[in-house]
Amino acid sequence: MNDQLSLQRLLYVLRSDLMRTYRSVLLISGTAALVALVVSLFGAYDGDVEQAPLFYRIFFIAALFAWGTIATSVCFNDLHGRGTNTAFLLLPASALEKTASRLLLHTVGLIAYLLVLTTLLSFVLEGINTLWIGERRDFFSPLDGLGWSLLPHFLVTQGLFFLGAAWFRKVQFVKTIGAVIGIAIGLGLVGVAIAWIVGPMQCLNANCYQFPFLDWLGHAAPIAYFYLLPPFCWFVAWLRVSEAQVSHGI
Amino acid sequence: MVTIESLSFGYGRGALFNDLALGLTPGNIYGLLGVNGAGKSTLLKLISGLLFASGGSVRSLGHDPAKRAPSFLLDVFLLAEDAQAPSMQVADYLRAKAPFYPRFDRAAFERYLREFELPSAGNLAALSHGQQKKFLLAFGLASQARLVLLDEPTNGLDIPSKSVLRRVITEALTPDRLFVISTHQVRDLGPLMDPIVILNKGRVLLNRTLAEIGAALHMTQQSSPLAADTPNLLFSEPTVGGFWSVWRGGGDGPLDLEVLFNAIVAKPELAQSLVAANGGAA
Repeated sequence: MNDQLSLQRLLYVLRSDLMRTYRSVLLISGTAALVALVVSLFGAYDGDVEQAPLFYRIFFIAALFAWGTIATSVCFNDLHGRGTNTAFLLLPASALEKTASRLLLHTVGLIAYLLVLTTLLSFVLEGINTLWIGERRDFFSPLDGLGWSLLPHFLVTQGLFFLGAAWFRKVQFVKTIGAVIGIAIGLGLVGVAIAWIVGPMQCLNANCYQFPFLDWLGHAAPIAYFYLLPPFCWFVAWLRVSEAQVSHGI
Repeated sequence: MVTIESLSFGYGRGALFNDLALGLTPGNIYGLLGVNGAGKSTLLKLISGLLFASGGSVRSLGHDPAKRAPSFLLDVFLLAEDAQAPSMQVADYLRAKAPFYPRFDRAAFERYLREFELPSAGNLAALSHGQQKKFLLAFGLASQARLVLLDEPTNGLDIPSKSVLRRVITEALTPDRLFVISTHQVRDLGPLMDPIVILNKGRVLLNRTLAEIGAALHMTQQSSPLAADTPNLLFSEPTVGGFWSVWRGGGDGPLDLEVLFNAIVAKPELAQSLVAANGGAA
């Protein structure tokens, strides 16, 4: 038996995690749908039906970032809970499988779920609009370009909150935001210091080409941001889960 | 089945265990006794991999428990003192957790539920703390885990459930299974536990079967106190309606675990005399 990764065990963990959380997912979905219904009805009444897919785009993006970050930040609550961490740690699956399950559910799973939810919601709400005022907006398309273009940003954000969920034992959402702000300020100060040391502040005039390092940094930063930061956060979260002990929950 | 050598562990800077050694063999229900803070729960957590030793080695079922390998975890069940079941339907819990245990015995699980008079449907969060513990115990026993660690299992259980618990555990014991019960309730679980392990101040004072203990000492009850220099008297303490006395040499009388524990903790050299009487290490 492979003690690190088994597809069958991963599927068991996914099912176990889904069965643990599906009630709250349905509850949140219902609440979000209700809010969308009210907003949609008022919007349609105001003759806002021309604002075609924008309404659903906003719904999708807001749900993705708001729900995604909050849900991700509490996804390891059972690891940190005093009465629940024993069950989490002793579940016969590896730390990799337990981490991967939470990661998949809060990235691929959540995105797919919100695409389906938003599409179905658009069918229902526009059906109601058609019946009520005789007009309707366009339906939401799961292939909508705006939504997909923001996914890389979501993955970066999700990665940070995922790491925060594994790292912090309590109030993970707030602490993650605090940590990100702190790191951002620190990096900003480092940047200012580098600019000060490397050369005078010509960079403020966007004339950085004479400084190869800054030119290189300009190319490297997006790569690090989009391609390195999320996997790094996921990897550290996995390490954190691997070395977790019950005393962490006390 | 469980081998601990030169174990050291502590919370923060204070050392709880230092050079602790212990061996536990299958086919037994060990009673793990100790005063508050002796480290009974901590020891169970070290054996199951919930805590990591800072020195020495712990081997459980041939594994390093700290690695928490799935092949090890499917053979371990720990009922924590503060165990709580998740907010799930009974059927959902079974669907979610049972597949992880290849030898899970559904029929045995349902039998345990009946024996503990637990509902076979409904939300687990609606059960009382004692009922949740009984549910988790039923699941753990049905998982056929070979290493079963129970931390104060009778806390929160009603009187009828305690006798059911004793019967269920006795029936579940097989030659390849090991139970370790950490408890202060020796009156509740005394009839079950043999051998007895006494933990005190980071050391294993005693790890002996009742037969070995009974061969080395015996106990009597008197209505009046005895002189401290009475020949062969090892220990005496007042109890309700009289005095318990512990004597050198085997006898036929019953062993009171509470008195034995008090005697060993008050006079650790008693444990050494037991070792000398039986030969070998504590």
